[in-house]
Amino acid sequence: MAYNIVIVDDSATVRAVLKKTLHLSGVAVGVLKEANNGREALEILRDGWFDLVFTDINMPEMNGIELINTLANDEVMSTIPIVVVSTDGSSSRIEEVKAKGVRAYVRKPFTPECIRDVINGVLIGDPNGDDGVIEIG
Amino acid sequence: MPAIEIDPLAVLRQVFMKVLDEQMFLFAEDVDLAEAPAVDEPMSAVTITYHGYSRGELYLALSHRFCRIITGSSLGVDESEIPASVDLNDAARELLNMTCGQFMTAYFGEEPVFDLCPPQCCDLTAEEFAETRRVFNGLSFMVDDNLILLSYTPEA
Repeated sequence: MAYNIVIVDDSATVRAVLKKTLHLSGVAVGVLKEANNGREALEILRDGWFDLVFTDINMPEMNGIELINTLANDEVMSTIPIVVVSTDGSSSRIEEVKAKGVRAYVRKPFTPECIRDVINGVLIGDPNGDDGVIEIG
Repeated sequence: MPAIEIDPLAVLRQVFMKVLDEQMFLFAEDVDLAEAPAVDEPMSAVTITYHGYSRGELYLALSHRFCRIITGSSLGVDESEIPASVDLNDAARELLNMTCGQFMTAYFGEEPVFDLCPPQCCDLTAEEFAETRRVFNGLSFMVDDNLILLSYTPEA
């Protein structure tokens, strides 16, 4: 089974690194879309079915918290697993997004192994990978 | 401010070196700015501001040549293979963004909440950089033969 994934980050470099990491992780990726901010991500997510969203928090126009809130309040899109990839390491912020159903929190800078473990945990349910709400970095 | 008095520049130095190492596989060395070689090339200046528990700004100056190096390192490609469409300042903005996020928790602790504004970047001519360097008060590093300036300015 191939997974459809959206990467949301205002840095093209980070999006490229995540894309490369996804391909290296061995996970079968179907559609892979990129968005600069939450607003662009919503347009993409409303236009098709996606299995996973990677999102940054600090972004212009619509930030990651606003995106997470919008998805949490949408009957259909609230089921899409969300992984936050951010420089923000505040425990209050991490608790805030956990409470909204975010499945994993990866702190930048991250290693390819972190992303691989998160994917295994969230999408595949690898018992050796991370699942549930996890914090890395 | 942290409960125990810590030198913010010492924390910033440690964090910057860690981010550069872990994300870009590059090693920075401290350099005395007065003894650092002259720079005669176009530079980029990146700033990021934060607010919330407290307010302030981080500033990073680095050469266009070094922006290209960190772009290649981030993407895992040789510098000659970087696509022409890539914004070379993007990796510099992200370097400062990651440094700032790590600095916030390393210096202020994990409890306070901050919002970081998207980093802003502008070009500096060699002459403008020389003036910046003359009055600079912060950290200075060399990565190979690239001079990097990094500073922290808390808002009173």
